[in-house]
Parts: sequence; C-alpha cells; structure tokens
Amino acid sequence: MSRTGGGKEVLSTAAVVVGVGVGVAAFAGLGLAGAAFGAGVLSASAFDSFTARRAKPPLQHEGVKRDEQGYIENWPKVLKAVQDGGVAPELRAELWPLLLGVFPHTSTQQERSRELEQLRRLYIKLVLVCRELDDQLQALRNSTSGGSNGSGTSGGNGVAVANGADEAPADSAGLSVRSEAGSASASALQLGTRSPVPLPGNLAAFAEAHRIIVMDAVRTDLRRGMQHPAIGGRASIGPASGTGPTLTILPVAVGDGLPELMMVGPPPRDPTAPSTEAELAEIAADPGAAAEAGQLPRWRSALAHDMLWGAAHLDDPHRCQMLRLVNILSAYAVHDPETGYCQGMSDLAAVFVQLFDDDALAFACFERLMRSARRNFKHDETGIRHQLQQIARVLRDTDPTLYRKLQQLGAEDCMFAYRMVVVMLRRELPPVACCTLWEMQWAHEAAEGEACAAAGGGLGGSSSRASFRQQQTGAVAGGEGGEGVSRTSSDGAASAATATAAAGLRSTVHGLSEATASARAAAALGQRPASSGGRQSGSARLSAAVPDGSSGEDQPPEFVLQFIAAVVRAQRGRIMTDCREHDDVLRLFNSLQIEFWPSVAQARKQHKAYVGLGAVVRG
Amino acid sequence: MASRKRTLLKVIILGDSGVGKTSLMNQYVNKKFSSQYKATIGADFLTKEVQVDDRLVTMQIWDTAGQERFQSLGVAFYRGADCCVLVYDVNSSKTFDNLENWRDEFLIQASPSDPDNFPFVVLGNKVDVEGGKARQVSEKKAKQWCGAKGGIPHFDTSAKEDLNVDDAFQTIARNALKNESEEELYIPETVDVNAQAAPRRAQSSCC
Repeated sequence: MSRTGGGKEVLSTAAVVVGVGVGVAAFAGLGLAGAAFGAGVLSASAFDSFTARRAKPPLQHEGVKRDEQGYIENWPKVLKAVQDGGVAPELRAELWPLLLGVFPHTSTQQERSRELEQLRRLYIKLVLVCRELDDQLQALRNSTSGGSNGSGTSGGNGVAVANGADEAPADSAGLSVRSEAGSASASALQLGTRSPVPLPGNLAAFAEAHRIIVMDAVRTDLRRGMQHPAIGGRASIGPASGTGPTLTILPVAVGDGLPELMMVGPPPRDPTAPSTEAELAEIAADPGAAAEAGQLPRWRSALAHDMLWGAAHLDDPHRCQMLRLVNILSAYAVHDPETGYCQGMSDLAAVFVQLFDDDALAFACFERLMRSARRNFKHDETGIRHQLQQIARVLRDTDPTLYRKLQQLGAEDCMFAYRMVVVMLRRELPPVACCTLWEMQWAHEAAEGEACAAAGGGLGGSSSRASFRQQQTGAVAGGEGGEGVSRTSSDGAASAATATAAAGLRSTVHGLSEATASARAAAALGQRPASSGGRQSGSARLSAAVPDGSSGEDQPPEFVLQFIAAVVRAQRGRIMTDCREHDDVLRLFNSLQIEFWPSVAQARKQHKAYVGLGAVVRG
Repeated sequence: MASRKRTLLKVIILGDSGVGKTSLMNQYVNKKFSSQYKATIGADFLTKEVQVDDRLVTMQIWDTAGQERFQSLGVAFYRGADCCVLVYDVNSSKTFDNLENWRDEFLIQASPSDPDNFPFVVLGNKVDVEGGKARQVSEKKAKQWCGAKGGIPHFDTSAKEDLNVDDAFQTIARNALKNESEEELYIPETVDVNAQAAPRRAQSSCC
C-alpha cells in the first residue's frame, strides 16, 4: 500500500515532505497564511469571518442605560445582552471591570474612580514588594557569588546572607511597604541578619516565578500592530494581538522568514517607559499620592532588563508592554503565592495589558479572572482534572455515542482539551472571538452569582460594598492574618514583614466585592469531581443523566466548558471516522479550526439544559 | 512482499522550560528559528518524513511543556513513544541536573516494555550563547552522565544557528526505528487502514 495514503494518515498528510507545522496549517485555514501583508489586512479578514455568522449583535454603548452619575440602570438587561452577543470593542474598557466584579455594578462613576485609586494603592504596594524581594535576592546573590545576576538561573539554596543591605541602593521600597502596612513589623528593610541562612522559601519561590514570568513575557504575543477595533476600540489602547488563532507555533514560514511577531504595525503612539529609580523611589515614598496621580510603577528587575532590553528583535514599545506584563504577573505571584506563576497565565494577563492603559486596572481584572481560573493551575491538578471531567460529563450526557468512541480511543479523560481549558481558548480562537467568549462567560457567572445571592437572600449590593470597605481598612491597618508568603520563620524579620504585607494585601484585594467572591467560592466548593460511577448507557440523555449520574451535586458546568464541549462535538464526524487511536484525537485538537458562532449556539443550548435541570433538581 | 510499509515514529521532547524544545523541533522540521515561540501548553507536534538508510519513515515529534506543574498529565502524550529526547540548556546547570528527573518521570509515565534499553537522546542546546562563554555544563560532564545511563547519545546543539540539529534528529530517528521495529514483530506488513483498532500499538487504549 502507499506510504501516505488513507486512514489515519489523513491527519498528517499536510506534513509530507517538509512537515508543515500544525500552527501554520491552522493559520492557512483562516486565510492568514499571507501574513506578510501585515496585521491590518489580516485583522479585517478574520474579523469579517468572525462576524459573518453572528447570531446576536454585541452590546453597544447605547444599550447601557446610565443615570447622570454613571450608575447603570439596566444591569440585568446588560448581562443578558452580553451573554447573547458579547460587548462591542469600544465598550470593553468600561464594562469589563463591572462584568468581572472589580467595581460593583451598583456603583456610580465617582465611586468607581475612588475604588480605582484604592486599587492603584494596592497594586503599587504589590509591585514594591516585588522590587523589595528582588533587591533581597540580589543582595543575597551578590554576597555569595560575587555579583553575577545570572540571567536564567535562579539562585541555589544554601546562599548565605552577609551584609545584604549594603548592596541595595538606599531605596525606600521596604520602608514604604512597612508604613503602608500599618503596624506590621517595623523592620521591613532591616536586612542585616548576620547569620547564614538558606535562601528563604518565599524568596526562592518568587525568584523562580519571576524567572519564568520574564521568560514567558518576552515570548507572549502583545502586538499592538492592529488598529482594527477588534479588542479594545480605542486606538490608544493598542488592541488586539493579531487575529489569528495563536497556537504555540507562530507561523514562521512567511515572507522572508521573519517570524510574524516581528512584522508589527506602527508602534503605539505613546509608549510609556519603565520607571526610573528616582520615580520608583518617589512612588515608594508616597504611594497614596502616586495612586491619586495615576502614577504607577513600571519596575524593571535586572533579569527583565537583561531579557527584554537584551533582545535585539524587540522595539521599545514592545519591551514596555512586556514589562507591564512582567509587573502584573509578578505582582500576582506575590498576591497569590499559592498559585504563584504557571505557564498559561501570561496568555490570560496579556489580554488585560492590551485593553487597559492603567496597570492597576489591568491587574485587578486579571486578579478577578484568576479567582475562577486559579483552580486550573493548582499544583495537585485537582482543578484542571475536574474541569476536564466536566467536559467529559457534558459529552457523556449529550452525545453518548461520541463519548463511547472517545472511551474506545482511551481519550475520555479529555486531555485533548487541556490547552483550551487552561488558557480559555486564547490559543485556539482569534483574539476578537476569544474576548467575546470570555465576556459571555463573565456575564453568565455574574448573572448566576446574582441569582444565587438573591435566592440566598444574603448579600445585596450595598451591604457587600460595606463589607468590602471594612475589609480594606482592616487589612491595611492590621496587616495580620491570611496565609503568608513565607513559611519559614528563620529568614528574618525582613521577609516576614514583606510576607505579612503581601498577605494583608491579598486579603484586602480579596475583600473586594464579597458578594461575587462568596458566590464564586460557593460554586467552587460545589464542584467536586463527579464520581466516575453511574455511566450512562446507550440512549440515556441529558434529562436522565444528570440527576442519576452526578446526583445533582455538581453545579452546571460553566459556559466556557460548555463551549469546549460544543467544539468537541463539532468535530464529531472526524472523531468517529478518522480517529483510530488516542494520538489521533490529540492531533485533531492540536490543529483545530473553530467555527465560533455555531459552537456558541450549541454551548448555549447545552448550558440552558443544565441550568434548567439544576433548577428542577433544586426545586 | 517487499516491505514498503509506512512507519510512524513517535518522538517526545522533554526538558525544562525555556531550554529550546520548540525551537529545536522547528529548526529541524521547518528550518526556521524564532525567539518568539510561545510557551508550550500541553503539547504540540510536527511531522517530518525522514530517510533512514533505505527506509522512509514519518517522524512525529511531540513537543511538550517544560514547567514542572502538571507533569503527571503528560502521560497522555508519552504513550507509545519510540524515542525520548532530553534537552537541557548548556548555560544553566539546573536544566542539566533536571534531566535525571525528566528521564525517570518519562520511564514511569510511558512505562516502555524494556525500560533499560529504551532509546533516549540528550541534546545540550544553546551552545551559541555568548560564543560559549556562558556555558555552565561541559560536554564532558554531560557525556559522563549519558555514559552512566547506558550510553545515551549526546549532542551539543544550537537551534538558533542550526548546529548539529539534523545530525541529532537523524540519530533520534535511527534509534527510534530500532526500538520501533522490535516492538512491531507481530504486525503484518500490510496494514488494513479500515481495521478498527490501531494497527501498531497493541498496548494502546487500555484503560
């Protein structure tokens, strides 16, 4: 028989002779192979194909009713519209913080401004903690290794402290952290522990997180080339990163071999430079004033400097965007030390870096996203596995034949959907579609959260805001409690203080809008892995399957998971006929082209069925 | 019947994050280098047809994520591998030290039938950096380790400068093929593509 004919080889025939990468193939499928023409052309064509089969228009500016104080009067309608069709690009910067719960939807414009200032203060503190930790690291390293900054290597364990404070230029980051954190141990910057100690656990963890963050930031797609209003609308915001689905493998085989990333459009008009040492010191000295003035730190670690400014292929606007990403992710790693940093998170955060000019707002939105997404990054893998099981559950309930086929192939664990879950289809969908999907997800979450809160008769709008104020003041004044960054007690007062500060910050930010947070927490608790028993036989359909198989203990799978299940079902034909072994399924989903709106329609149908069913079960 | 059977080799690339796994794969398959490959999430793959002696084989190269979180999920990708490529960055001893873990983990997860003789190849990448001045792992040290592990072939490579990449993958293909043909003794030469089960891997799709 022929070498390449027939059967499963169908899946890899594109690779004959030179082996075209799957990423390239996917791009070609969307008419994006001609990337040499520049991002503008590409975005237009992708955008057209994206809008072509849209069922409902996106929510427009006039669809939001505001009173003279900026209070949104028709929030339920807004949520409904976003669930149906997403948000118009030019409205995103306004609505995302509300959808994500960064600001309560019951707030006025003035209240939002006040809270933004509060968020900036918190963000400033987190960045300053990062800087402080990095200074400590440098000091530790210099004291032992003669000053090598060793880009790419994290400091080993067993580094001794000797006079660490001498090395740090007399900056006041730690002092300001101390003063802002209220009564927390006053010796924040007194690094002068003289006895040799091992590199503290929190420092080592931070160093490793920061190392990978920088490495990933430098290779995260942050193009601002496209002026097409696909993501952000406002030209100054520097919207989408291209428009093609962005798999790991960027299409390198275009033009004269320049990677596509290098072919950017015009740089953004107003590149914001990294902060100078003097500026950082100024911010550190008076974070409140800096927050009020909207002056946010763009801290540049030695490593970030080496990697970003040492990369000849980058221009300064890019470096600055990447630096913003580094700052936000590093701040998050301090804020949520349990999660720290995991690859994939840069994909998620990059969207906010592109949409918002204000780093604090970008951080706050990312932090909100992570409240549900962080389970996907849990070290024990229970989170990601549960998500995959939820997809399997939907497939089992809605298409038992397809599910059985996946079982035969040994793919019923849905590992093939792993990347889709972890980066929420950021790599599989063009940015414009990805943003729409996320908005739909947030609107579903928000609507369900509110329905839940209303049913529980618990926290209404105003009371939640009251508790959030309490939280804030409490955390800033007390600086006590919360699980700290540091588990080691031997590493001296300095890191203990930063740890306390970070923990305080964490609980402070987490205190924002308790209503949503508690609703999400409840949802998270409800989502225990379904028992693998109770397989549905033959023609068992949704109606029978859920109460029986999962005994209603689970929440309905969230919208994004329904979407992924719909994407899988859209490949039904190819799975049933082309896939002969496990790897074929992996390959299929590695080079996927998603028809966005049909999958949305299918996801909505599924979602409704589950939610309706949940109501029946509860009632 | 003359053996014109198409052979599919599955090769897995493992190693710490940032050592250049994706770059090596792309340099080999597409003859392209970019410093802009995104972090791999899960796994990607490319395929390439290779001539090994008188046989034409299709090499399917699986590129995996390097961050240690979620390693155990890797089992889905390791299954049925014919060769495992371990990559480290010669400028970072930590990435070299971790090869031991990567190797052990692979043997546990993939559980090949003959772990002692399963083909590995070790690549020390990024030898181009600073003209070699940044190097932390000497070739001698690496070869010692490879020797102690039963004589694993070792190559100094640079995906950026396309140094030794072809040679390395030629060895990978050859060794994978050795392994593959031993596994395949029971497989008829004519493969019925309409057959229900996977023709090649008797051990696949067990639950």
